[in-house]
Amino acid sequence: MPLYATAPALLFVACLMATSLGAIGWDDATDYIPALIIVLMMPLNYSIATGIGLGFIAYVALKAFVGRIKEINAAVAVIAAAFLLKLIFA
Amino acid sequence: MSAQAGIESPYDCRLTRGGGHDRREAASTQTGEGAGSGNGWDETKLPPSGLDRWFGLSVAGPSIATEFRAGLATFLTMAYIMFVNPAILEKAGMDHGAVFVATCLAAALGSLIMGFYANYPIALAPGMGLNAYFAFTMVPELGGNWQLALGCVFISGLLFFALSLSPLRAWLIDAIPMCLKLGIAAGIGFFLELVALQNAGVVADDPTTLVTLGELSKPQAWLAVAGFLLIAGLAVQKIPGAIIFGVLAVTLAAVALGLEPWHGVLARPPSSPCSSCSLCSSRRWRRPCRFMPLRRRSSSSPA
Repeated sequence: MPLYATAPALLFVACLMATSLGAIGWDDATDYIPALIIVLMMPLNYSIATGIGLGFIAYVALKAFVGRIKEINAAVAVIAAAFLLKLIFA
Repeated sequence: MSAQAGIESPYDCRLTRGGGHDRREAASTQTGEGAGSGNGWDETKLPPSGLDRWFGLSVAGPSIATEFRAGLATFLTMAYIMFVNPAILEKAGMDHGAVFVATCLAAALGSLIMGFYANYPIALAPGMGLNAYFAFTMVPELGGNWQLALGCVFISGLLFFALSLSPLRAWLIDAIPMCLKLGIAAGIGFFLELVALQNAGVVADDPTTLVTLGELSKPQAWLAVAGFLLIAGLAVQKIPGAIIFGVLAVTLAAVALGLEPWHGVLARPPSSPCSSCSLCSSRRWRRPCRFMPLRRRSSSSPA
């Protein structure tokens, strides 16, 4: 099975996954900007992990900057901090 | 391997729902049709078969024929993973044929356990998303050592299993904001689109703009584009197996155009000592339950 024969299947499944965008709350910029950072950074960095990390960092930073710290979950803050340390020191 | 990884992921749930949409719909319409046609079980005429008794079909409603049709539709919807999973995991350096066989076995085993043990009409197979994470993030981070990466997947499987038994699982899933979960699912989609377009030759690298249009003078790129349109068209019409038909159509067209050699329809499973795989060539293959010594492996990896 050549690569260009399985590529259409991959592309179609990828399209199905991309439909998740529709369910994002597009009325709150502190919600959709981190999501969009994940979506853009995954292909541009060619790394799924980096995309997730940048999205978590952006989420915590944005929510904190606009004073909605209460919305930040402890688990999310810990994950964001871990990714930040990894990006800086690794 | 990636079977358990694919299923455990909360992000894959969306994909499963999306990918399984037509399947579930097909199953439910067929169920309705079977119940409505009045051909249901008449217990006075026929003794219930073993299959019927095992799954409690007469109690639930659908006939055995309906079950077979729904099962075939489910298989056709999911069968693409047999070809896509090796295409992704071979980028991690794994043997294409071995991954193909492993994918089939994992899907068969998972679906059999789901049917016979849980008696639940959900088929399990390695899922998209984490296989890309494995091939494009984990393995490169571990210096290309996919054997070590598989060990990590195994340990993560054990951790996920322990997590599933504790209330921590629900807490952890709820803790991640929905917008980030959706972003991760969509992001992996966009990532895979880039991979697929590269594989198809539609997107190529460029020193100034990073990416550019591929060489569309090659018939391969056009075959891939046509295959994608075929899949999308069939899927819109809710035809089960749209994806697998598209892949097969492109492969047959490539053979017909003389782009690929014809290997025949049947092949032996790849023999276990594959050339590229140190797992098989070592004696440890005969005792697969033993852990590989991490010390020896980690010496070759930067992590």
